[in-house]
Amino acid sequence: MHTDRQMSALVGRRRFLRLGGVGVASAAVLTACGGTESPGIARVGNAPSTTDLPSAVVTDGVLLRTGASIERSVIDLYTTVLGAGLIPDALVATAERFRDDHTAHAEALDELTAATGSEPWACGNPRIEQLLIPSILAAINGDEAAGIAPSDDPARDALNTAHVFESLATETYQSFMSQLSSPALRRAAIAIGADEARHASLLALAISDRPAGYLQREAPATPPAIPVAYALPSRFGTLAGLTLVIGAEDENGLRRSFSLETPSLNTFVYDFLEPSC
Amino acid sequence: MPQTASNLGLRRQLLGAGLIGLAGAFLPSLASAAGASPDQTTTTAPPRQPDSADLTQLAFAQTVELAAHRLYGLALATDGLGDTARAVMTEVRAAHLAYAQALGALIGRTAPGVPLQALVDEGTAAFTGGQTGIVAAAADLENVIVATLTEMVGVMNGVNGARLLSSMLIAESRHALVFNDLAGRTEFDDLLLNDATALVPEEG
Repeated sequence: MHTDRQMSALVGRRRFLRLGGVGVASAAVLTACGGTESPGIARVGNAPSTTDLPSAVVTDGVLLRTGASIERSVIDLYTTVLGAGLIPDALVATAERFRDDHTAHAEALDELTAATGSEPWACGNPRIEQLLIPSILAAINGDEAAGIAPSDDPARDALNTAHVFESLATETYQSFMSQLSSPALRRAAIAIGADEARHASLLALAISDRPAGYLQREAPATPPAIPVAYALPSRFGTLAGLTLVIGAEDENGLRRSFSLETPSLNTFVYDFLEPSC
Repeated sequence: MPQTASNLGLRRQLLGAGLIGLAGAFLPSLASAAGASPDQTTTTAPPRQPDSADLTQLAFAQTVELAAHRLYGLALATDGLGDTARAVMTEVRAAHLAYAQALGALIGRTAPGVPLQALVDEGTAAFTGGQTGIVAAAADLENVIVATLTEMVGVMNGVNGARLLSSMLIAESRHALVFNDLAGRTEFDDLLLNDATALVPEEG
């Protein structure tokens, strides 16, 4: 005979036992529903299958592919502005020499990329070419459909664009110093970065002329609307963001402004990306 | 009554097994969600701080930078420099001192804090002549320093040392171009290429 207290205890235990049983059964159902190949959390009922995102690991190969992609974007930029006659005659040879240097840099990076086991990247940087360069060219040449007037000084804007991209390339290799895994790769990268720095300085002298373009001797009371290019812009090489101001003035006297920064997670050319050029 | 106790123990075990089974069903999914995929590439981060071999290189770099600072001081003490060359050289001299100070901060108490005397001796005549000779010598000196620091980056194990050296040599590449320009060199190869030989610290 069970007392009331014993009955109550047994009922409680039965409920717990049932819970345990339900747990075992649920585990079996969930495991069966999930299957052995499912990448996600097991679920009950119908749901569309999902595809894993590709693995976005930043390796030496990814960094080198990114460097090569920026070189090729700069090559394309020089080809475009030279072809459009935007470079003053006196500087055509300079632009052509820089383009040749970038070609040599890209090829050197391709060799290093292959040596790391990654596939060399033969195109420009996808993000820069999709988002940045079309907007820059529209600001210089104008885009009637978008309501953008052509620049009042396309040659000035083309040179400032080239200067900013040379500076971006310089900063890119400097930024890789803390990311590349081996001293030998860091050395190869910074040797290219030093070349880009010379390009930027020579362009600064062409844009700002001599002696004003050597260095900033006195800070102006008000910053100029278009940043002045200097051959010696800072005491150390910096990783600061770059500002490009180009195009025609709008009704408020303002030109289009672009901010460029060293490559990051959204600009890297990952191993899973496929070239489309 | 002993039987009831025994049954209770069994029930507890079943209950526990149920909960373990439930948890087990979720474990693979949780592991996957955490990104613990077994085929994911892993990389080993390079060390940050300089090791003893790095410190030897960085100490040598500091003596080179202090030698450059000394040589520019000699040049600025002459009265043969024009306004533009003097302004550029004043800035570049200050830059080399800043590099030496930054290296000293990274090296710590063992930083040499003295210039590389052999480099000072070798450059003194050129840096105390006329402006043309001084700016040409300055361009050559900057190229030598760039070559030296570039080679150092190639043997630097610690990332902090590589980062500092790279930020210096980027600026010094620009110095070289500006001094070559001031020296009237217009050939692209003179302005853009650096075929200087790197300095190396003496053994021991």
